[in-house]
Amino acid sequence: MHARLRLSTMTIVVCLAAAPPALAQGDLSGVWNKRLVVNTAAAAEPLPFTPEGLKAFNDVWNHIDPTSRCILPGVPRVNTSPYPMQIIQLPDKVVFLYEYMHNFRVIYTDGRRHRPDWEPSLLGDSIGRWDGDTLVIDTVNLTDRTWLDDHGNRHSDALHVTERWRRNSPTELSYEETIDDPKFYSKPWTVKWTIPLAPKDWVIMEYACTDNNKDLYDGHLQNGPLDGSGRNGTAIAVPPPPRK
Amino acid sequence: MRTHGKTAAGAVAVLLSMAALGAHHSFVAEFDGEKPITLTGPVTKVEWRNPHIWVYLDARGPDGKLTPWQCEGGAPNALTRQGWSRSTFTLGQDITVQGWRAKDGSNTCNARTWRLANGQQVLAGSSAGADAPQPAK
Repeated sequence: MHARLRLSTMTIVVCLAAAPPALAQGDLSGVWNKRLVVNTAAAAEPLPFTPEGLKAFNDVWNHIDPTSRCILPGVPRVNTSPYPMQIIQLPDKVVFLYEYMHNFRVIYTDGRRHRPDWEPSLLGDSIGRWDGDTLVIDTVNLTDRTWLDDHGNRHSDALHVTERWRRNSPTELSYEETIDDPKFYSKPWTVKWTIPLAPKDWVIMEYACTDNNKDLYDGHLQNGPLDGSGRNGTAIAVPPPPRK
Repeated sequence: MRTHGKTAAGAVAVLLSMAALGAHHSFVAEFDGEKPITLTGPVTKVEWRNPHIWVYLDARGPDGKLTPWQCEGGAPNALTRQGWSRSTFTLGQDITVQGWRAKDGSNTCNARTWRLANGQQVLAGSSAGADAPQPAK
């Protein structure tokens, strides 16, 4: 009897010791089967283009997609490019390891502010904070040299991206991005989708874009969005008719 | 080398899905959906490297003459996760590739399907999906 009681007590102590600490924040860690989202703006169409934004959208057929030339997809396209990603969560930061083009992001959640003095870059300057169980990433200081997606949606260097990452269940992430770009869009727009957990045996693999980019090296690349979409007006804000 | 001039029904949808899954360059800008092609001949080289695999073969013409061709396939990481590898092909053995010619007229194709000499369909080409063949376990 005494022995049984001691065993039960020990079991409780061991269980308490082994229980993960209660987290105010969520747990995003894992390898996630992030998949290609061709037209990230589909759910927000028709987009609230400014004249400058509409001009850039229609100008896509005069340019090669930057990722075809192995230019990093940048933020936010890094989240909608194909192939898995791994999230490593630490007390003061969350690390994103993307297979596609070997991108990585270290998102500090320690309360620091944006850097005021760095050059604009493809991935921009990101800081994070926990809103309950949701990681909120705020990114500014982006260049205008990346596109938003394979559809050829565009952004300017005024782009401000807000990402919201939350684990819905052990096997599903929800992802939400808000595109705030006053040069190209008259108001912010938000889209979201889910990302499934990758199979257990998946690891992040090598994806060196420049390894054998024959399409580029042999001169086969041509202008236009990757999805081959024409500019048939489906996503274009129709200008008002001219006044007589 | 045999060529077919007819465009398959639903080619536009197929091409769009190929572009999406290629996710690296524009299919419709680079290849001609109006010029499907079928090539048969021995494999001379396999490049299982990112961002796309390339398979080189000597396509056999009606007169038996061999002409070098290069055909682009899917993403090696996706194919590897499905269980395929460079050893799916054997150098010197015939394969049959169905795909589309490059617009620039070079002996370059984007593969839709790959078949070994025994008729087995392999890889997912550039158009992985429900129809993609799986490797024998």
